[in-house]
Amino acid sequence: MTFASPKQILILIALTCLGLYALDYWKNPQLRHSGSVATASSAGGPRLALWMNHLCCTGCLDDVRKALAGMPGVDLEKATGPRQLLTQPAANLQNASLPDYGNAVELPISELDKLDLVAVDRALRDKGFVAGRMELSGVPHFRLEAALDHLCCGMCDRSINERMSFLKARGQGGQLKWIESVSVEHEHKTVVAYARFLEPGKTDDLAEFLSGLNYLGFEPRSLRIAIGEHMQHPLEAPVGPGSGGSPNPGELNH
Amino acid sequence: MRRRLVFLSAAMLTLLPVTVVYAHERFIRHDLKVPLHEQYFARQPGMFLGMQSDMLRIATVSCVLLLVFLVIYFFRQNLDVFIEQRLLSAGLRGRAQRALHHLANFLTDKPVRLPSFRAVGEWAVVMFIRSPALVLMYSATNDSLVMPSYPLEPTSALYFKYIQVFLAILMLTQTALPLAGALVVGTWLYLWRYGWMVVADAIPVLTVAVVYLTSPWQSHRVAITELNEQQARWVRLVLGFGFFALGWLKIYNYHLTAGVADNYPAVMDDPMIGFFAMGTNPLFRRENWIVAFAFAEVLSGFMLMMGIFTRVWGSMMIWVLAKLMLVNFGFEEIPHIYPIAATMAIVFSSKAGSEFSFVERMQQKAAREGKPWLRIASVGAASLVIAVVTVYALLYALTFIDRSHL
Repeated sequence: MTFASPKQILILIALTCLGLYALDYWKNPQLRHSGSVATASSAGGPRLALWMNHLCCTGCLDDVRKALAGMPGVDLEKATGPRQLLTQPAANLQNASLPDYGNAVELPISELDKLDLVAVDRALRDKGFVAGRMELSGVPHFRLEAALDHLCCGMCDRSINERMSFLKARGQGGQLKWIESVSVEHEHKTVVAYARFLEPGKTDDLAEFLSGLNYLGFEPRSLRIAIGEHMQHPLEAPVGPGSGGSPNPGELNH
Repeated sequence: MRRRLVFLSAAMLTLLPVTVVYAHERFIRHDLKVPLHEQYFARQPGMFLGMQSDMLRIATVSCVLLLVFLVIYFFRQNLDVFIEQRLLSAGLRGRAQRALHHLANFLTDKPVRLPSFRAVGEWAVVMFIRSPALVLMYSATNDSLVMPSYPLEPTSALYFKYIQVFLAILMLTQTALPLAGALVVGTWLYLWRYGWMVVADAIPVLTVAVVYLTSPWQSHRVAITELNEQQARWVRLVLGFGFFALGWLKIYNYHLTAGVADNYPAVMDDPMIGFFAMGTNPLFRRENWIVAFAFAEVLSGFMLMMGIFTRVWGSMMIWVLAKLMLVNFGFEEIPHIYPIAATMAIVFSSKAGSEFSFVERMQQKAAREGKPWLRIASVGAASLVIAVVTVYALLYALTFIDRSHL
């Protein structure tokens, strides 16, 4: 009887491990690009990258462009779409599977204060698309202001304050981690999410906040990106009846 | 003998109702439904060791339990001699005496010379080296890798599934087992791609690789029905360490553990957890449950790893894992066949050893030299150090790590 030598064992283990990694590298290129779709072009000012879980051909891209036509705040003319996209006729004849059927459309933001992410989301949905991610880049400090039609009582405020931090905590995939704190301005029926510093080349997925509000049972009328005078440290955010009656927002948001 | 048996029986009865303690939560739903008190797991200024008082209480209960088991174990030879030769020699004869002798050997990790015990042990080894194939086939049919909780990417799923089937064939036909072992270890290393917690979660997978790698290339020609001493030791070490690590992971990634309780609230009504968490603040019921749950696994993993009452703790684990699979969580826990088989191979092996046998030898030497206080002091000090380091060291370190974002 012959037994495996330590050298044989080590070689076989290394081959197995490297082989599996190579297989992954070869067959799953989408996994290496899922982190950030707007990294390459974030140096050229604020940009919004819309990652569509389905955008497989030029036909899809045309419909996305139609959906976003006339959208205030973004420069659709300078939008960059996915390269090497199949044409619609070619996609009709294609039999093989694609590594990923999703793709991203990058939109330069021309006027940040006019951009309404809810409007973008609705426009896409009206055309039969859903933006899986809305990745903002090129804005180091910002906050999101979600205007709500419904925010009738202190309990509504409290639920947003408490549950948003809960959502942050349970986001196993790192969702909402870019949010430093959330405060509710009851008088203005607005939920404000203060983002952490956004490093150059990195992106924040704003769709997570939109989905989070939906998950909590609220449909915002608009969701805008704000910068400038109202930026303050989250712990300095006003606490009172208007902020949801939370006993200690700092603790909840930590 | 009777006193020891009564004590061990009582201990087993206390611990056996751990109905769902060993929930392999990755296979089952674990969405958190209610927020936890995050501060419970963080540092508490002004508190002893900076720990929350309930957490400290549970840790102390665990420490005392471990201490008691260690002390009894280190005196097992003397207790055995005393009970068998002094207490039972007068009262029991024949079959009853032999039965109790075998039972005592079983409970104190000594070789059991019974044909039926040997037959079960042989069958357990056969099941142990083949059962991973069933898990692999189950995973392959569920488009996952190694375990059903790790789904494969659709673009590469086919290749990984074929590889798993190939590996399963090697296992089932007992062909080129060293290659099978290397494939298992290589795949485990590849799991880093999913993150270090996945790798830690899959440590028990390596248990069978120990046997495969130490088998001959011509493994298909031999009947492997017994583990040699080294194999039994490494299987025990790896399996025990796997459970030990999983226990600490429960405290580290407490959101996930609490998620299990949120989805299966019945798991919190457990006598053993109640024992660990006795006297704690009901306001932190879920948090206390997480820590108690974790320590149950840490202790059992540690005992198994170090060879302290291996058979007693192994039997409890088999019972709990089987109950989880058949009663509590159902078919989704079917991969537990594999850890059950691995634990059976250890429990029914007559080659049990201990990593702390040097303490036993030390106290026996002191006994021969007529130094009773040295015996007691050496066993007491060793047990105390082992118990304190095992329970408090990592728990203390964890309080410095903010895990609220996990």
